[in-house]
Amino acid sequence: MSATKNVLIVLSVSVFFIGFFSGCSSKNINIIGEKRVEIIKHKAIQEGTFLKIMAELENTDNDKTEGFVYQIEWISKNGLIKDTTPWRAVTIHKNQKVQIVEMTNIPDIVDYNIIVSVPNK
Amino acid sequence: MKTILTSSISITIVTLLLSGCAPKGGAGMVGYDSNVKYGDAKAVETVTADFGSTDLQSTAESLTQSLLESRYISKAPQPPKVRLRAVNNLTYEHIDTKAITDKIRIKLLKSGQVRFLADTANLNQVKDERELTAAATANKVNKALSDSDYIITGNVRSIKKANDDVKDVYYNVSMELVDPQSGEILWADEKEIRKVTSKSTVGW
Repeated sequence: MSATKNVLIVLSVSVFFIGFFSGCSSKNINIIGEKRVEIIKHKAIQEGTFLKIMAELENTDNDKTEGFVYQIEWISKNGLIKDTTPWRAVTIHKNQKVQIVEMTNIPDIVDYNIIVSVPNK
Repeated sequence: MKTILTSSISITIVTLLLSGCAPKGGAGMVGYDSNVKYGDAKAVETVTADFGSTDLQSTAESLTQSLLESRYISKAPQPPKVRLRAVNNLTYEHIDTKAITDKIRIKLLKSGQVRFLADTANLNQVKDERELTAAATANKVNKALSDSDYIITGNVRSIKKANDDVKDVYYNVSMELVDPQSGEILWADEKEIRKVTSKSTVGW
């Protein structure tokens, strides 16, 4: 009984730590610099032979308008970065959301990374 | 004592030989210490409010995406033959509109959804080259060179306003896909860019 209890405790603690350490990063998202902008959701759809992505970004600050840049990396089925968009400048007013839509113009892209760079203040 | 001295001299000579003649910065680098550095070609550039590299890239990218989504390209049974005509610069600023069309052509060609015919500017050179090898079928050659399914044209316009504190520039780049036989405009889209320079603002 005691052994089972110990195993359960170990498992619970492990799950907590896994959740704690992996919760900060999300697949397809890479935020560089200060995390004052959040990507609250993102998804990809296939538009003919091209991959199209939509992401919603939010400025969670009540006081300040945020200016930042983002870039999309387009990844082929081999896992290689085949293309990137230019960095795009976006401004989000306080407590507002913006939606970004990007489509690759080369075929056979299967995955993507959204890179958000927020300048240090 | 003699051994130590010999060893020291040997180490000094070997070190000097290995490091003394090597250029600064290592192999494959020249002028490592200079002020010239390579930057990210796709970075957002806000040096002035004039039409710049970021505007060129974002215009080409968004108009290409829009064109690829149009049914005349995406639903075509086979990639149509297109000729890019000039994009007119209707602004008071010097803008190399050929850079815009070249970038769009590269992106469209990479997509594999469109075939391009040579520019009208290069058409005579292509014709001369073909006529060297196909003099007997010159008429057919000319027909193949001029038979485009669609042509792409466009305009760049700008509106500038300024007072003592703020300078506002609005750019509008519009393009259209035209059927040269019927003259029908099949697709048109635009990219709008607003750039504001404020004397009181620091940074962006």
